[in-house]
Amino acid sequence: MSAARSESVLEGLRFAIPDSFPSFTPIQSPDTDFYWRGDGTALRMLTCNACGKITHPPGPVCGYCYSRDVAPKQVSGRGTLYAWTVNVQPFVPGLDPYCPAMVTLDEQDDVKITTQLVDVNNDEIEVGMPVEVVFVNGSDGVKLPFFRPVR
Amino acid sequence: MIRGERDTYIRGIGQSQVGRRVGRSDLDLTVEASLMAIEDAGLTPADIDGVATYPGGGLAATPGFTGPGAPDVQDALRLKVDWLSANSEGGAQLSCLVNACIAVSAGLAKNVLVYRTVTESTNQIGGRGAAVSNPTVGSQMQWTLVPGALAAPHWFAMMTNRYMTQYGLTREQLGQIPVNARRNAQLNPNAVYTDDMSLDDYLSARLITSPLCLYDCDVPCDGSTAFIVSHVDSAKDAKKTPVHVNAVGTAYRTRNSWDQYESPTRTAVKYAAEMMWERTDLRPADVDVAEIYDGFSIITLQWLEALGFCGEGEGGSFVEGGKRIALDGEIPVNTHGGQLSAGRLHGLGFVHEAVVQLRGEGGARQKQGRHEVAVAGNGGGTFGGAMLLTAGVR
Ligand SMILES: [Zn+2]
Repeated sequence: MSAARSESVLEGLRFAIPDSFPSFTPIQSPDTDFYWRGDGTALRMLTCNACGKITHPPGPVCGYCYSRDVAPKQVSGRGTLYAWTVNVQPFVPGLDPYCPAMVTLDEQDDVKITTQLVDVNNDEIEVGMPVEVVFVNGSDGVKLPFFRPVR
Repeated sequence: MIRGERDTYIRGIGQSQVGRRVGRSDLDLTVEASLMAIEDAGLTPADIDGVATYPGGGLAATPGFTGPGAPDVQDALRLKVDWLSANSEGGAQLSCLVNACIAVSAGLAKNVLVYRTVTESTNQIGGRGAAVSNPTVGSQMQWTLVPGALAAPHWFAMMTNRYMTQYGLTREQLGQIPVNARRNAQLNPNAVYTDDMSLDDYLSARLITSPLCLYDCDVPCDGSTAFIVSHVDSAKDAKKTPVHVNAVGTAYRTRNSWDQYESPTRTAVKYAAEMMWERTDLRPADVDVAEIYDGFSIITLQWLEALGFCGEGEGGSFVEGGKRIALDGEIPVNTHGGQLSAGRLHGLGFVHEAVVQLRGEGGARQKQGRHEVAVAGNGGGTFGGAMLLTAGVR
């Protein structure tokens, strides 16, 4: 009989919504502060007033039409799970298994956000599942947009 | 089309002691490899008039990553050079070789010493993750690091997960890449890991971040690789078979941030390969050996597709069973054991092995039959660089 497969360590894991996730702190910038340092109630994305497209990561110009008339705009906070991984190796001492993920937004499916999937059991995670934003405190007042399954 | 790289060839190669926790300085390893390459080229230090490296000293990076700066090596070897260069942004690790080709083609230098040195094993005994301590982050890295995708294994794990979902790749298929690397490493006296590894060993190995297990990730090591790049006018004076630079690919045609690629099959490596083929009449079927990056096993799969050995998304079925990529297969891959088993010499180890194979110096791991054309691929994700090499100047 062969040994248990590598992924058997994931059985039964659940990823709760953490009270906080202390991590790297993004530098302050007029281009990006709206994303990291909002009030933690709504997801806002840099949106072009000329063509309506979302540019992410945000910057000083629309990546589609080159208009500089761009501004943060609230989006639905709903999206689709694009990819995920469960981290088992404690890259930072004391880190419990957690679920880094990538999500595409309902408003525009070429916009991908790197995030974490929370409030979910390992065995229910599936690429393509609908998800919604939930904010978690990061370092230094940062509000991290994490995502959980839409139920 | 002007193809300045064809003015150049690799005249000499050298590789220092390679291993885990070697405990020697990066400059010491670099001097060893450099003197070996100069000797192998049939030259003396007085003939060297250029130096290039990746990424150069003084760069903020994890311990043991950068190796010594070009001026440190210039001084240690008392070189009198007309040109030196180091950079980390460009066609991945082999950008230093491409820069050397450009300098030689432009007449800035005749014989350029190129090196890449790592001492990551000695300097990261606490683990690579322990080195992730920088509390603030800007630029493109913030979009992955801040929410908790803390290191390259996370980015490539998600890429692998997406690839598996989109194209049906299995761990049994992906595992052929590390298993093949280990089989080849067993024939390489300088390889770091040479114990037997079966597909079952791979499938039950310690999980790092799903779906990546320990054997999907390359092995930090200490070591230095060096080259002498010279002008083809001098090829008749070379001591060994001149290895001609047929074409290079340095394209950068993707989004920057690791999470914004159009698909897991369209990362930098795809475009580096695309550009390389745009610059040559040789075709994938002409290639005898492929020495392609394997910092994570998925990257090798991406290179196989990018280089046109199989179609987009077909990498899994291409490597299934492992026969095609074996030393006696259709297209032998990473004949020295790659970074997965021979050690993470960070890119230039692949070019070194390509030269070894083209010269027929591979010993027990020499590809049998024709060995006239080799491809080397470096990088993955955001940066990629490709180089097509031939035995003898064409
Ligand atoms: Zn626009």
